[in-house]
Amino acid sequence: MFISVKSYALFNIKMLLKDKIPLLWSIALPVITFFMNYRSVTNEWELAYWWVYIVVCSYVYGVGVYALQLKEYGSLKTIFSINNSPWAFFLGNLLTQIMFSFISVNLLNLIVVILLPLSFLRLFLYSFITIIACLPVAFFSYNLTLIKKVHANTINSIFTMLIFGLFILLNTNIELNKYNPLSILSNVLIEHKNMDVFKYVTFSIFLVFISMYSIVKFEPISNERR
Amino acid sequence: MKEGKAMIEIKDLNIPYVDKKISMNILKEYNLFTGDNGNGKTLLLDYISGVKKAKRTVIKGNESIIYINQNIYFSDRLSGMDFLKFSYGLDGKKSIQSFYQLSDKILKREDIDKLLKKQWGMLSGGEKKFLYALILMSLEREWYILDEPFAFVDKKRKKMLYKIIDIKISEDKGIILTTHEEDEVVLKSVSKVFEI
Repeated sequence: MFISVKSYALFNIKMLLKDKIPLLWSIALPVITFFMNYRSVTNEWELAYWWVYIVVCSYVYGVGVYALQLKEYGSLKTIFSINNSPWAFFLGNLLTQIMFSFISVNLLNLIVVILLPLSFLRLFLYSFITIIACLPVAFFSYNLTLIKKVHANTINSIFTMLIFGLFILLNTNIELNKYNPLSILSNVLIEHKNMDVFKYVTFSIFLVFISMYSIVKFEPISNERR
Repeated sequence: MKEGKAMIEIKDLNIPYVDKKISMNILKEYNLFTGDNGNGKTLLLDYISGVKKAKRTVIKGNESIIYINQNIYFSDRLSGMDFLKFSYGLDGKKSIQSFYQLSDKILKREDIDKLLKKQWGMLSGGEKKFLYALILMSLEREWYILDEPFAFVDKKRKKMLYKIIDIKISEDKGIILTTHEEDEVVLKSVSKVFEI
């Protein structure tokens, strides 16, 4: 299974890196909002708001929405006839997005150290912890592949609006942020209080566990087309 | 029915959307599925290949299949060599030697290497289909399913595709091919025609 996971990951990352637009787009909005807010950043962990946004976008679009799109286009039939392993497909995509997130957050980190007197090593380490901490989002996003009677483009548009809205909300002090997943996740990382971390880990295990159903049940056939 | 020849057995398979119930035995030889567009040929192939699961087991003998369908999971920015390595990696192989064992019978090594190095988007439609089929049919399986492999392919590439199929038949592999156009060469070569 390791060879096939590695094959998916290498192939996907080559595809992603050949096209620079997704990479630039993944950090464009965070960079703009960072320029607007960088004077208020006092330590490395406060970058978590931007990292979480970048990583959540990678996981939702690169794992859940991507799998749903490929299913709909019918382009996975041949691939699954070579290797009919839904786990290899999922883990391959996940590994791709871990690598992609790693590149994206470190591009942002480079900009950060140019503007602020912060340690790149700490930024590197903390952003990596963020990539790991966000893993349950990737698992959860895979449940999108179970949805029937909804077009992948519709799902894509809904998530574009939703995640963009949640990110903009992060820049405000509105009470609604109590329910903003990006804010909750960022605050767990920034404050890392034992109780909050414990609750997050417990909830993450639960999320990963229930999302395994969508991985095991994944079929390369469209829910929408013949 | 020929004695002792391996086959795929289909019993009471319900094909949705076209409202058909299919029972057939497909012998391990050169089989052609014909029929008009919308008759459910591709749906049937989805089931035979195992990528679409029937509610109960109604298909037997389909454990070792490569399904070459019309939609390619690939990027125009990558090369044929990328797809070759990807396919072999998925199949758990570290070496691409068996690809050259097949391709050397069809084309000169330098010609195939030239094709493999080219950016996928820069290949013609026929070159893409040919290379795609060549890579996938070099993977070792008992059966190969080809869904409309000759559509939009020029005569030269068609001949090469016929040759790959002939090689696989001579290796005692089973072929299931679909087409909705009349093709004299195919009709002469096939062992059995199924009207879907």
